[in-house]
Amino acid sequence: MRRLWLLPLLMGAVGGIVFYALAQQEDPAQEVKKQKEMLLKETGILPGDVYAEQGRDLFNKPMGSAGKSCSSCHGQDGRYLKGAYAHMPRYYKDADAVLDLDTRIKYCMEKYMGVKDVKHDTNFKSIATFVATLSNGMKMDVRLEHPKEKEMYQKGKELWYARVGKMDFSCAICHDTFGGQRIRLQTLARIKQDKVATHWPAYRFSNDQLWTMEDRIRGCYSQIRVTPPPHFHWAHIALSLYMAHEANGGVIETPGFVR
Amino acid sequence: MAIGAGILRVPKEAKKGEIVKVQMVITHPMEPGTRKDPQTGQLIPAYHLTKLELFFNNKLVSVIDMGGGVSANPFIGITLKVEESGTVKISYEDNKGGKWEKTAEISVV
Amino acid sequence: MDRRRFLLLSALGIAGLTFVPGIFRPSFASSKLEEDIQKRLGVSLSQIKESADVKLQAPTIAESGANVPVSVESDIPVEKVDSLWIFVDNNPSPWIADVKFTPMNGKVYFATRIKMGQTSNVRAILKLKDGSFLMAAKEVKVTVGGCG
Repeated sequence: MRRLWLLPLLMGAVGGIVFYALAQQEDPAQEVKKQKEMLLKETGILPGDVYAEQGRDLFNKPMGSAGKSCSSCHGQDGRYLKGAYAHMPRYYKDADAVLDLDTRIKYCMEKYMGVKDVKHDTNFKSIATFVATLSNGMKMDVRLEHPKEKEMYQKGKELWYARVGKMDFSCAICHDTFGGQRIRLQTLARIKQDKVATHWPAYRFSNDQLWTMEDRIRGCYSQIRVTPPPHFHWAHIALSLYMAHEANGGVIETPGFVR
Repeated sequence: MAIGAGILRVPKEAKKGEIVKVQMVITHPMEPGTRKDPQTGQLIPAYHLTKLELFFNNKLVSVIDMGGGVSANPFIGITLKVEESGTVKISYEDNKGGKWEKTAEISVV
Repeated sequence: MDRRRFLLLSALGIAGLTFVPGIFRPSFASSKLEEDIQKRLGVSLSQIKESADVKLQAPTIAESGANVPVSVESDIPVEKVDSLWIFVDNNPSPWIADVKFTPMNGKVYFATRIKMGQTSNVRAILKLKDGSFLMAAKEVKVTVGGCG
């Protein structure tokens, strides 16, 4: 009985090896691919594409007091908006401000269509997704020409690196320093290499929801224990501009399919 | 989005005797009736599709009975053996009396 | 016993409790499942045999229990099959859906997305026209992801 202490050590080692081996069999990065392939094979369409189709229907539908639809100005099925998403966020003369996808749609709906109280609900997200799909296949090409664009970009960059909240997190910690590594079951996106802005808005299979970049930013802020900025806040525009600029050259493929 | 709206996808053409996939997506919350509203704490009442029937040229091919255990916005895939050209029809209903139909055409080449 | 022995045996016990269950996979009490199967199929679960002829596909890890894609396929001629039943062992209500086939389906195939409340077996049970049953089961681990 002198060597009895060896036994728990041995059992611990065996248990540890078994756990490690089991964990290797299922790579979470592959899970995204597997779910996407399975859905396409069995159902022929991805949930994100269904939202985009519904966005198309809403795009062509009149709403608001002016009795117009988005297509009244932007053409049936958005044919004059092709490629617009590739240059967003950008400066808009009529608003005299830099706007991202979500804020621009809200601006249009309120000013030109007479829609009151625009909410960031599923219908809104579907329209945003549809507009983004009009740039599919094109390269992200965000330019910083107007002084307000340059200013907003700087703000976005500051927000990216600022360490905030109870846990002193910044975007850069997860997505620059630890980008590509795993946090529990998720592989962290890398801001420079992964050109993330090209696949947002995205369908998240982990909660069966369609998220725009604003939703994603809000989600991230919640994760790092900071009260998320409300929708249409300038922080979203600044961060989206920074991320879109980092994604320049990447091919746009929306809606994305992510966990 | 309109509850009950559906997308029905079948190949436009098929060879005689070919087995094709019939795929559909239906917009419906599929509430099981066991979930609580996070804000009010009240039970969200059951609101889900109960039955979906697949017809080909008005002949019944399949009946799917389902409850709140099927995910929201159900995606369904099933097969059909195409012996002649015709109309694929899905007819579905929920527990609150909602009833809808959707059709698509297949031609035999 | 002396203190050293007590500590040693405690360490043994803790190591055993920690690691050994990971090697075995206990299936939790399935009495709700058994009731549901008895009610809807008219037979008890123990009378249904697993068969490689029923092919059930589902992810091994499903990060969201709200939409787990599953598909069931079989080479058994569809003329011999009456219906397909899908159950999730540990759901509050194990029955998910059932599909009645006719020869016009051409083959036994069904795919959808289901809800799972927790890690559980998913079962696909084929009821044949001769009154017999065949089953495939797969465990799907339902987790919460690491960040968002």
